[in-house]
Amino acid sequence: MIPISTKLETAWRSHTKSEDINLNIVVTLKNILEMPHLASLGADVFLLQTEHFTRNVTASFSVDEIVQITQKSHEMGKKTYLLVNIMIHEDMLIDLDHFISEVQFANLDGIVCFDFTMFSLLKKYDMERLMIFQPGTFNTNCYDAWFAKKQGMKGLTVSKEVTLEEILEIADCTQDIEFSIVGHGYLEMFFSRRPLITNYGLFKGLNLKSVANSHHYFLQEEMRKEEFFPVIEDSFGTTIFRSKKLLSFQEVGVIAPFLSDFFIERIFVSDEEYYESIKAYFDFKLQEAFLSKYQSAYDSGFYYRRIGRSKEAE
Amino acid sequence: MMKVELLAPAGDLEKVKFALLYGADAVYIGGQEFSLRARASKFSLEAIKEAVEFAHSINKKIYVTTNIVFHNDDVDMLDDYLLSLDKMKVDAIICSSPVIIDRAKSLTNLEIHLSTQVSVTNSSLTNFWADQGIKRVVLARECSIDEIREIKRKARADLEVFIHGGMCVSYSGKCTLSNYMTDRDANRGGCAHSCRWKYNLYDDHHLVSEDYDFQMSSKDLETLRYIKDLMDIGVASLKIEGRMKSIHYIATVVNAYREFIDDYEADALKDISYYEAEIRKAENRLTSYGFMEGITSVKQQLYNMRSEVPTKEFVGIVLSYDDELKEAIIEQRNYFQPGDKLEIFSPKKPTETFTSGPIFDEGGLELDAARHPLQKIKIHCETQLSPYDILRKVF
Repeated sequence: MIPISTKLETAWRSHTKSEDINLNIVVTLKNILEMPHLASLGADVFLLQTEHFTRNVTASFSVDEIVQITQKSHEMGKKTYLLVNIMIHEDMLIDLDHFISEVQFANLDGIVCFDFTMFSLLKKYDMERLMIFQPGTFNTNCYDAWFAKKQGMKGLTVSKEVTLEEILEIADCTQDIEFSIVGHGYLEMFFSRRPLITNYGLFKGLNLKSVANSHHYFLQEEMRKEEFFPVIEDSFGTTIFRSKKLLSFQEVGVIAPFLSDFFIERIFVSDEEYYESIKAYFDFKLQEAFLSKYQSAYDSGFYYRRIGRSKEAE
Repeated sequence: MMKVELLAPAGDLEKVKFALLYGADAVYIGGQEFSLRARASKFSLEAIKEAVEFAHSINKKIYVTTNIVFHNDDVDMLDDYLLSLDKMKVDAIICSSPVIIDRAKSLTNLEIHLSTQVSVTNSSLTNFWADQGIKRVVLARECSIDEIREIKRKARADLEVFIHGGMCVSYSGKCTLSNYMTDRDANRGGCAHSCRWKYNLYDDHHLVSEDYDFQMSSKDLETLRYIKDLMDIGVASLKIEGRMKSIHYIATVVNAYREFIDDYEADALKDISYYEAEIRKAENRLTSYGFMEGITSVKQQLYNMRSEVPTKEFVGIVLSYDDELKEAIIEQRNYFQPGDKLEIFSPKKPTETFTSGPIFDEGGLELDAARHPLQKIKIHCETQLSPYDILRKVF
């Protein structure tokens, strides 16, 4: 395990943002009334989901609401990002272009994009400087960061399956572009265009209720009976998540000097747990309380798991 | 009408030869480095060179997949590798990572194709990559025929479309099930096919499925009914999946699509059932048309369904034929015995059948049956045979 720098850890935990640390905590907003509370917990950026261009939605916002929230966040000294995490098919291009033309005046601070198609769409409105490329699996090396910088993007989020050591390596060569991680919560590991739950229900002749964007379905693999993988189906397809939530209490102290944004995922998490997790990233004592309450549902993801390139490599 | 390319997979040199001889215009192969499908990526640089020389000798092409998602420690040796591919005149590389695209552009004259790993699903992204110097984009398998038509209308890059074979259930490159469950990197050649395992589905604490019968597997892709449309649209390349598949499968599927393409170009199409029957001589999985009609339904899924048995069994490859004695040396692949009805499957002529007479080993000893794979045996056949002809048992 990589040792944590005491100095950085102390600076981080006391939330006295030293010269070395200039990190935004990015949280998912459920409603406009929640903004002051999230800010009081330490949130720096409100991440908004959209009505038509976000999958696995927790809470969506209209263009008018996006404008309103962004303005309010700026009044609070905070920032607002928008999440566009769909795969963009040909017939969505026109609607998405129209949507971007509408939000271009919202004064957003960033647009988190899953599909690189967004780059060209944003560039049309000179908005590529707002793009944070967060594809989940593709940002795995230094060159990816240089490529993003060369395109004029705001930033990139490192892939979800790389080790802490790799994150530090990439972070070390991304000083010219904002670098972020999704560091807490349920992370997805599979996205299909197929409506897999609906299809299964049809195959079995089951009357499955409220499948669309339902957050209460789980998968259990035959040989991993202790693990339950949350699964969501919506109009964009089916997403499967890891069985355990990612926790970065230890690691964030190491990565913080290199990071611009630290995303805390909200999906499948109660408001209570979500608020406690945000606070715990600023308070060592709260971390202990958090762990004693929730630890069994969390793990360290791929931070210390080096993944083999093939079966032969195992 | 633009001449469409038929592109086939090959996991080794022998399959390269069969794919090209049975009608592929080009073959894609994986090097020992930088390629997905680790178990099918057996080509050393020397083997790639031999494949290229063979393909070019019959005016055909070889593409090399270099489509892993790169990590920092993968980048070592990349430049040397690309320079070697360029030197041996590989016709294109298929890649998904900006680092390899940039290095290839900087160092070589290699033509660059964008892998389906990138999951390109629209014309905007196609054109972004075209502007980056990408000659051809392999579209995501999630595109419908209408989407392909619209993308082609606006695209500045050539398009390649998967027409046959296995399908990822996930968008390509967007799955880490294998990473999480088996510590094998799906995007660096280690996919454990965790999506094909058995699962239970729960609604909260209520078990919905029965005995792990929730499955995500899809039927294999088979798009014979869409080939005309794809050709009319102007797709540059029709791609068959399956670098792990057998010689028999590759030859059979390639030959069937070759015949369809040629017949359509000659305005001489037979009934579609003819081509379907040809494919089923080697196809052993249930098939569907995938996303060609849009979002898939239950009909495209595979739930504990019995796979079909191929209608013909691959029993041997012709190594040589003596015109005077009318004797063929065969490399045996599956059991057959004297009296079995065999079909001659050749890239050069229509299929014919004959009944096997006595079977001899190379030393002239008569055998009661051909039972040892790769054994060289001798049989009599009045019909002239040629090297690379395939013999199938007719049930």
